[in-house]
Amino acid sequence: MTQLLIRLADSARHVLPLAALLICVFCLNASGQEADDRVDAFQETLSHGNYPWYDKAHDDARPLRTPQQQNREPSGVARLINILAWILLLPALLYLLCRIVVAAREKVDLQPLGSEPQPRQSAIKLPVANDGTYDYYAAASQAAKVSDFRSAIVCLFNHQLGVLNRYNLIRLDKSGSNHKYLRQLRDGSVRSAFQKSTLVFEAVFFGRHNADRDLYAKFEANHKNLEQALPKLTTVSGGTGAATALLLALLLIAGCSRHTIEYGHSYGKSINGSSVFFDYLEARGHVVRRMFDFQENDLQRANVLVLFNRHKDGLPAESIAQLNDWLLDEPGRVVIYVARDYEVHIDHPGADPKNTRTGSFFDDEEIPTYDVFTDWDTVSTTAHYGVRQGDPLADGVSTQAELFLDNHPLSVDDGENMLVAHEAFVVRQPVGKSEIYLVANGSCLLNYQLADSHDNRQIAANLANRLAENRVVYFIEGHQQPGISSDSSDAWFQNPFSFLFVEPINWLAIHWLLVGFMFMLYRLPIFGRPHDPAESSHREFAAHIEAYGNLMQHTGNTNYAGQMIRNYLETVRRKS
Amino acid sequence: MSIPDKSSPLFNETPEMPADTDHDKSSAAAPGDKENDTASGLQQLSRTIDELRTQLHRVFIGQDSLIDGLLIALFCGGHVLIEGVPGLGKTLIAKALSRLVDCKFNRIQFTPDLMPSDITGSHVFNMKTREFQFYPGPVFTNILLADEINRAPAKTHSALLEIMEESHVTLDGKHYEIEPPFFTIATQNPIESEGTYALPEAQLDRFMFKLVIDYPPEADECEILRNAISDNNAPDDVLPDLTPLLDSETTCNVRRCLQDIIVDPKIIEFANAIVRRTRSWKEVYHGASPRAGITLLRGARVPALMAGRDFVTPDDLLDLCLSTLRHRVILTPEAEVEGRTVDGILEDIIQSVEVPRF
Repeated sequence: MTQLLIRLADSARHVLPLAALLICVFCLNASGQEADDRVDAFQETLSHGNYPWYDKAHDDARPLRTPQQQNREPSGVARLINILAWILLLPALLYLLCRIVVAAREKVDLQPLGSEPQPRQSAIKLPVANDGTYDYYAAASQAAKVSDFRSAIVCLFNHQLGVLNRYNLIRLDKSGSNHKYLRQLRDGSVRSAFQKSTLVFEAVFFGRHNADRDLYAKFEANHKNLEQALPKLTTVSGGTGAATALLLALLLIAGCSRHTIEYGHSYGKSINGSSVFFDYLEARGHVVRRMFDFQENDLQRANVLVLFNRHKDGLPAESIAQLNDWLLDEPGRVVIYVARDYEVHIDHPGADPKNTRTGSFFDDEEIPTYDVFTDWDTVSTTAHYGVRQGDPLADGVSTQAELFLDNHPLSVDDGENMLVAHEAFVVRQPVGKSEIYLVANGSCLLNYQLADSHDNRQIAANLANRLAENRVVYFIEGHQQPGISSDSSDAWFQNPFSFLFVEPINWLAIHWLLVGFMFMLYRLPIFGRPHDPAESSHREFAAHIEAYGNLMQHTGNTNYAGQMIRNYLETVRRKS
Repeated sequence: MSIPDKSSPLFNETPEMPADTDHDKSSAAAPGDKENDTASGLQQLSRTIDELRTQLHRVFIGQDSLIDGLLIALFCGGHVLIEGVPGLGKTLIAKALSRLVDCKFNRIQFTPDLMPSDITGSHVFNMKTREFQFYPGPVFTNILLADEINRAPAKTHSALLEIMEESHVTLDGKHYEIEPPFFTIATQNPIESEGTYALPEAQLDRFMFKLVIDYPPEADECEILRNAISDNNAPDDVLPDLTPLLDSETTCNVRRCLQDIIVDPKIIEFANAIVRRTRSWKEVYHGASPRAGITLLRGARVPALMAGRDFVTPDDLLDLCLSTLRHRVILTPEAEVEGRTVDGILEDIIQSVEVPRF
């Protein structure tokens, strides 16, 4: 398990610089631009955000080492810390496992006498209750009521065996004798009480001694004493808690580096995250929160939703309809839908003469048309974007752009509906008295892009500027396809395992699953409890027969082989 | 012995923590109104046997199972076969036991040239009386130590085993009774097989127990060494000081008293299940005979008596299973080649039988 964790940790550690390297390669031509005040705010946001990949001095991304460089020049301190953490982690893990085992053996809820749970079916094959559903305590009470005290004592004794077995103080099996159980008991008070019970049971059951009401009363009182002695064993020292806390802390340190390549998530400092935009909005006075998938209560509080699409197929129709309903419920609501880059397709618009391009940023190609947001029903799937000749696209945000919806040109004014930079643009689409901002090629709003490009900052700043003041902004952090549920709890658990993918639960869950798996190995009856490990033969008869056959074939002398067999058997007999 | 009365003092005293072999001596036997004499007699016997064990431990350190096995066989009228390497004190314990029960003791060193008449005795012509006169052999004793019994030829084995079974010697058509109690302690060495005559299974069945002893633990061995070189505790010094606790008659009476120990039908079924299971176990070529079950039940009464109980529990039976059955079963060749031991297989068999609980 440890090796596996180390490999996971190593692989996670290697992914980050690799991703950063790739982004660096693709963004080498990024050039600094003179920023206005709004754009400068991004620099301030980045500076205060303590992004490990951001160079405050140069307002740019730090050059990242390649994995090969890392291998040549390992960080000694980091490596030492990691090794130390693992050294601490392993004993802590083992100690915790031991504590879990001990606690599991000791900490069993003592049921009230009247509500004793059924004996485990696998515990023992008791003559009366082969099906495992027999309640011996009830049977004892019933027998006592009809003055059959012998049966009552026998039943109550069997009930005691069941209780001790559930406490894992004894290992109940069909061949277990009372002597054996007594030897297994280590706690003095429990053993003493059980010993008294044993004496009475044997005298009554095997010795045909008379059993009367007094004897049964004493037997039952002794049984209560035994059960009172049992909870003392459940006292768990603080060592387990401390070990758990230490383990959790170490788990976070050792191999559990933060997963920093999540696309669009606002938590963490991922270069592919949206925390810069998150912080920027917060710095502008908005109340910015996160929600995991669509939660009804949060939606009612929200004025603005920022949704980074993380799924290749975009939003499902149900989610789009729900978002539309949400927009129509109250005026002034805003959805900022940030599409993935591949959601914008470059078509070959030969059929549409209006798309003839006279000048653009794709000089060597035909005019591109963008089939934008094919899953978004508020924008026609035939929307096209064209650029007028002479637009200073390379200089930043275009204020002279034209949008065609259903082949009808829409006038896009500066600050009105359209922002263009490089391959990114933003479309404003009103829905009732609310509005949707569709960010095509939305990677421009990711952290690294904001740190890298003045144009992207400009788009983000303009987009943020469209929002009214003091809005409640929610970033949707759910994976893949979020959906709205009427019940918040249902919404949260729409995917019952979604919480497992939220950091740091995802890392803790992996480790605890491993711990749980090991614990189950111990607990499952198929593996047995390690009281009396089954002896296995060290010799395989078939292997010996094969060996003897080979010997005979090899030597061709059956007498010699037979003599060898006899010698071997003699040796085995002596050893046995 | 009958059922004790209702005022059983089972909870009137707190029992001591049980040892592994006598966990419930203190309070289980409750005297009844009508059977006070018998119950008190059993209690007295229990204390006597306890004292017997204590005294044996004065000269023989450790080996509790050996001492218990010897006492059980003695009181049941059985014989034991002890398998162990030389130098473990087999002769010493036999001597000590004979002193404590105030019995005659003889020792026979079995050799390949030992003849039946060497152990049974023979008729010798008396010149004075002009007739044959019987000169009894060493078997005419109460406790006989047959040392290295497997070194004698088969006919000597047969002679001895007949005596063990019948407790008399037949010579020239005349029967010569051996005074009870007659208790044979036979030994054999497990490590030397050259020049030995292995006892056949049919004859092994005559032995009540086969006790396997090994070297003592380190602490016990240190104590043995300390005692051996001390002035007062050396076995040779302690042996003459042993005071007889029983005599021949009392020993025979104990056998009769054992009949008062209750053996519940469930215990009989339990013993029978174990014995029968040996016959159907796949790794056992030849299982135990009904005599093994009889021996188990007879022997189980003694531990109950030692514990001061008037009834037998499954634990009494289980404690005797290995020593009773290990020489009565024959493993299959496959099991032997696999290196399985008799004791290991017997433990598996015992584990497969359900202890009566309801």
